[in-house]
Amino acid sequence: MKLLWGFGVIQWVAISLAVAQYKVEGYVKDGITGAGLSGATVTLHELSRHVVTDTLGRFELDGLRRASYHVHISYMGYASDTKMLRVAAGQHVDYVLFPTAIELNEIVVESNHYKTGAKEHTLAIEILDAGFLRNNRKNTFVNSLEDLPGINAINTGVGIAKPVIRGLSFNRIIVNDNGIKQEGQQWGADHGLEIDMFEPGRVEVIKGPVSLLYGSEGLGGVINIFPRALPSDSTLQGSFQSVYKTNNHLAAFSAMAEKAAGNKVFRVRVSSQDFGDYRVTTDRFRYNSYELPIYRNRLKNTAGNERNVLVMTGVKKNWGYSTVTLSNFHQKAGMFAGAIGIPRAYQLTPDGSTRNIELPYQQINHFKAVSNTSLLLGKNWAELDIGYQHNNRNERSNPHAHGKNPGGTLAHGLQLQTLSLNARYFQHPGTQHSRISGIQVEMQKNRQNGFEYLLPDFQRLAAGVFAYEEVSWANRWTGSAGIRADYGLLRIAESQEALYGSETEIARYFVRNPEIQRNFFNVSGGMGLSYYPSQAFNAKLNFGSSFRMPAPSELAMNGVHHGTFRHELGNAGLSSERGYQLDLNFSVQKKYLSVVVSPFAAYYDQYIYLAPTSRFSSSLDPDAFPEGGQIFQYSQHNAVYAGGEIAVDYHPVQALHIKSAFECVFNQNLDTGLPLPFTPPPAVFGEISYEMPFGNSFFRKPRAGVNLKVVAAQNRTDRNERATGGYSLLGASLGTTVGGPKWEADLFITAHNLGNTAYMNHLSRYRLLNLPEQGRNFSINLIVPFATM
Amino acid sequence: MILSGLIGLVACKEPGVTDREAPVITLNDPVNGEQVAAGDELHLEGLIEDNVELATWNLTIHNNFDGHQHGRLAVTAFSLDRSYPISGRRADIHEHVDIPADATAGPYHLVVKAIDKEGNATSFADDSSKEVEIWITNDEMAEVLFRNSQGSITDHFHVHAGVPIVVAGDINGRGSDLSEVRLEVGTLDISEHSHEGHRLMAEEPFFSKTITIPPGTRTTTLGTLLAGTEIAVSQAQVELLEQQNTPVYLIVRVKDADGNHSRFVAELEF
Repeated sequence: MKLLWGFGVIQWVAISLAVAQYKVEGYVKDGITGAGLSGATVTLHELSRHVVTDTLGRFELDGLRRASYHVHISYMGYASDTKMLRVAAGQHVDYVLFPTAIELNEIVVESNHYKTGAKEHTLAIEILDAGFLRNNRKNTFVNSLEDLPGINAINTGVGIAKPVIRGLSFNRIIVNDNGIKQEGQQWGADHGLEIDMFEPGRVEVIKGPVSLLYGSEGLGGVINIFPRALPSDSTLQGSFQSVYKTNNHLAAFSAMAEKAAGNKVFRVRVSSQDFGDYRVTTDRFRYNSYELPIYRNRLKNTAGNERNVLVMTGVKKNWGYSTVTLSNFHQKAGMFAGAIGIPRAYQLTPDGSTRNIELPYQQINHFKAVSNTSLLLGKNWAELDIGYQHNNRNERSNPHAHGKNPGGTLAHGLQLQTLSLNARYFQHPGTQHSRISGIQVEMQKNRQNGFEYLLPDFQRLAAGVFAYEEVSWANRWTGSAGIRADYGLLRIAESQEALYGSETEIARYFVRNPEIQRNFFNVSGGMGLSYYPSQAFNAKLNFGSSFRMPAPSELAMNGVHHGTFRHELGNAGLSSERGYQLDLNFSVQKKYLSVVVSPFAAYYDQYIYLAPTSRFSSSLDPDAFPEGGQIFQYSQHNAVYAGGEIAVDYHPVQALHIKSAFECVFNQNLDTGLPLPFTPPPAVFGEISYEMPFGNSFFRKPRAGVNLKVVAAQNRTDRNERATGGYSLLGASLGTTVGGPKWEADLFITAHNLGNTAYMNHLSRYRLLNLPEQGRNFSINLIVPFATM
Repeated sequence: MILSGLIGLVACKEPGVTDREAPVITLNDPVNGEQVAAGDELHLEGLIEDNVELATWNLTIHNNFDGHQHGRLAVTAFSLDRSYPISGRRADIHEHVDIPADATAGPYHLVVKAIDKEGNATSFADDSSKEVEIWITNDEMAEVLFRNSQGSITDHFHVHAGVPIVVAGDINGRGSDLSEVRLEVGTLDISEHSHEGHRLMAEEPFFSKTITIPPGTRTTTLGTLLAGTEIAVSQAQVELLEQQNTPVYLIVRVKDADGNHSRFVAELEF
């Protein structure tokens, strides 16, 4: 309610300021022939407003207030551009675009937060549009990004995945959805990202330390998820998408409708998916010196479902826009029947259904209320994002047969509430000089229950201020620098466990964790340089420092992870970890060729990791941890990371696309001299696709492609981590647009693991059980857009 | 330059010099299927070795009652989790574990794990942690007495392939009423290792039947439980088992109202 009230005030303030209005008109032209481009899109970023050029290439934007705007100009087959537009009177502006065959340049290449074009950025940003996300739809949103060089996923079965950027994951990656940092329980390996895979309209991935604009914890990188552009048509528009997958009989659909009515906009989305137990390529696996059966190649109890809903409403005016988005993500996902404790043959016998979800399973509900506002203050723009999130995580399993009888099946119940506020103010001291300053505040409260114990109740406050400057000169140089200060306060409640002498009598208490109160202060910063002497070449250099204060899990955890047989123990004395990273990025962009090379090297001071100890749970207390395991305690030491990515896109002819990407990461813990755990192995991804030169009025633009992913063995492993063999996976895709004169739909089929290869994924949670990954899988996708007159 | 130097540094400094070998456990006693009476001592004997220096070993015993029945436990089963410091490269382990006189009868898993000084630990994933199933017995648990055609107590039955198998016996709840009986004809998961050096997946039984016993029943007979049920093993199956030299058993698992589990077996001789 508070959010809606605040939104109302902003609207009132804006309306009450009656001011002069101006009109801007001009042409979008081909940079070579000078001809007007008809159907090009001109977008005013700050107002989320776009117009399309007429048959002569002419556009007109009226009702503009005196301010600086960012204008994105894009046209199919041409490299997009971003220009700054200062409006102080009615004026005429022409924009020129140059043709290209490289897909990535066809979309709006501009970062939502930095507000500059790709070449001016000193740190490379990968931008994925709705088309990419649609064509690369995998089991989850995170898996859709997996084929990008440098990005991986930690999977638990097929419905649960968390992102990994250049080998860093968990609390070291920030995912911002609608401008608000997603706060689930990122510390857990089997805790997935709570995002509806149908919703993102556009995604930015920044590899490297970006604490500066996005906050502490951005050591490894940031994934920014943005919704589709605000609707500007007064007709009701929308789309219906559905997906069916053969491997686990997944059936999913998502329906979206949006409309603009005068200045008001709204959008609704409903998504749902249901999937059965997934199939692997073998009928047995080896564990605890048993050959255990996998009946009919199906991993028992890996079925799941998801129900998501989103409602957005807001206003668009000449002072900016303001929206409120309410969304709820709900997932229920079974865990493989043998994943909690030691798998036994009797647990694996079929239970008569491949679609039921029995114990153990996890049920996650993530509710979000987010308000996003872009507002003209004087002649500068400000952005304000306010969010409330409630993450309710329930892990259910059969209680282990130890003394006390807990009652119920709730093993872990975690309720995390987060209130976030981000404000950014954009200034333009000169035409080639821009400044962003901002504040970020995040407040959290965590509550736990259940018969098992890992993480205590806590409260956390994190606040930061930053300033970022960007200066361009000589039409070929851009320099950037920024500084940030952060303060964090953490209050962790003491947690005791009653130890029973008999059925009803408490003999004594064991202190799981003492009360912990810590506060942290950090200053970090970064600077970079981009050099673009021509349209074709760009070199970037960025040096950044970032930090992360220890997470509550790292300070206070004390419990047994029943899937990993690890006893994870916190360390109340940890200090903040700090990273220093050097990034280089070289890109050559010709009309038919794009080559991007991006090496990096990073040094982490006081890197926090789980170190194996030579003790067992019962070394701590003989009675407190029935069925314990080896104690892994959080410790910190220095570490180095280095590696890079190479991406090549080649179009020998317009219709043929050849794409290849290579990634590798090396890291080392400087204390043990060993690699860090969960490091993705080097991999190469290659894809050839062809737009067929035929088609008729019904089948339009048919296209086909094959892809191959070759993953090397990972033999650089941490202590007690097992090496994983290499593998290669063959995939294919076939798609077409079908339709009549009044309607059209996109239909495409993708195939994953065509060879039904038996392989293990080094980053998979089920790797620990020696379980192979998902077998051959065909995915059939149908997308039907609609619009009413 | 700095970058390639760093890559070189990381890539070249292979973790070869670091000790990454987990201890090796040899467990001689108990063996899979071993029985121990409540109130008696369980004797454990084995050897733990490491290439550098040992640190801790751990003994865990916990019940495996829900092995075939998924009901919740009504009683407190025996469990134990102890860690012992050890040193050197070789440690003989001898432990006498007192099984309490009131321990619930039934199958238990006994697990031995070890960690060396560097934190290298044994694991289930590579079979280096050792696990055996032991059976705790007590005087309260149900008892099964197999009887031959003359009515005298026996531990085997002479049967024929391809025709219905005839077995007989008495089931007595002794300390409490009977709750559930599971009858199986099949092989036992005993500690014999296969040629590949690992335990085999427990074969699906040829026959299995679970009978819930009405409350208030203290005794019953196999004849009553098997009334109207036919058990047969085909000639082909018998020949296959003979080739593998695997004996076939009638396995009777009984759960009583107090939560005790007991298992009795009679060999089927074809």
